Amino acid sequence: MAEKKVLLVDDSKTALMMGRAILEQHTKYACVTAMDGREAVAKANEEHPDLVLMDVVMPGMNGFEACKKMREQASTREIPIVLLTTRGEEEYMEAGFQSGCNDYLTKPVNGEELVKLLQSYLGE
Amino acid sequence: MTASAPGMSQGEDPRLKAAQKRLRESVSEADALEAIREIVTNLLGCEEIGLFKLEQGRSGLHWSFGIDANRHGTLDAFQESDLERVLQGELHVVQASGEGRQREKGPIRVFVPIRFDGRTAAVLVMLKLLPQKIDFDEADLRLVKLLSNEAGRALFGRSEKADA
Repeated sequence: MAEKKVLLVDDSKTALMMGRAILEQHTKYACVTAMDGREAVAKANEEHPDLVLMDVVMPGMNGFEACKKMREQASTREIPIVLLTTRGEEEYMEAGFQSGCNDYLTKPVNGEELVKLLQSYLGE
Repeated sequence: MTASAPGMSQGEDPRLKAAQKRLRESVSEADALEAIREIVTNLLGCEEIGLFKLEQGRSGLHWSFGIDANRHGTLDAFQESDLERVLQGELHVVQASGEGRQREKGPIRVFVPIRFDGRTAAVLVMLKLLPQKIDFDEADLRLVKLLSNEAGRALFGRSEKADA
């Protein structure tokens, strides 16, 4: 079976480093990264990830806009998208689901919770 | 437990690994400050931060994120009784008090001595946690300790070398 691939999107280098560390240490998923929404949409088209784990607050195209864009495109419409953000307010979560995300997690990330969530979409 | 994955030991905590790598790879003082902001907001869940540099017995606000710089121009503004111990290198955490979630309690106050060259060169103050973060746990405190020990080199190591 082909290796599952996760696209990590965050404008914070630290968040990307931690996401990569969690994936490398505790899963068998491959990892590609992007640092804003526009790059995320491009990478989703090029890399065909099995899941996108994306920050919301980013310069240029934010996570909500990128999520909507991916839902509009046939090539990325079916990819599960998990939004990950410091903003835990209800209106932000609602906006996330309206943009088409499948799940919404708040920072600081709970590593165990994240691994379990990824496994629920991608298997072990 | 904040960031540990199943079977994860302290040494493997991905937050510690990421924070250490980010600080060590910072390329300038501005980048080191951005690294500290990223670590404190993304990994610790705190959104009010101030860095007070200690020079000639005085503490001035050197950089901040989310705090009122007019109210917190110096460390003395906090009227913290244990400040002397922080200056001696001791981490000081006043956990949020009372019952229930943090927003219903008194705010957390964390004073982190930033050690460099055998002394406390600055103090990092964290004042407010994100609403979804309740308190600091042991894993958070290990990360704060790492900041205390490693941020000084990232912030001040370069400039002192350049000045020499």
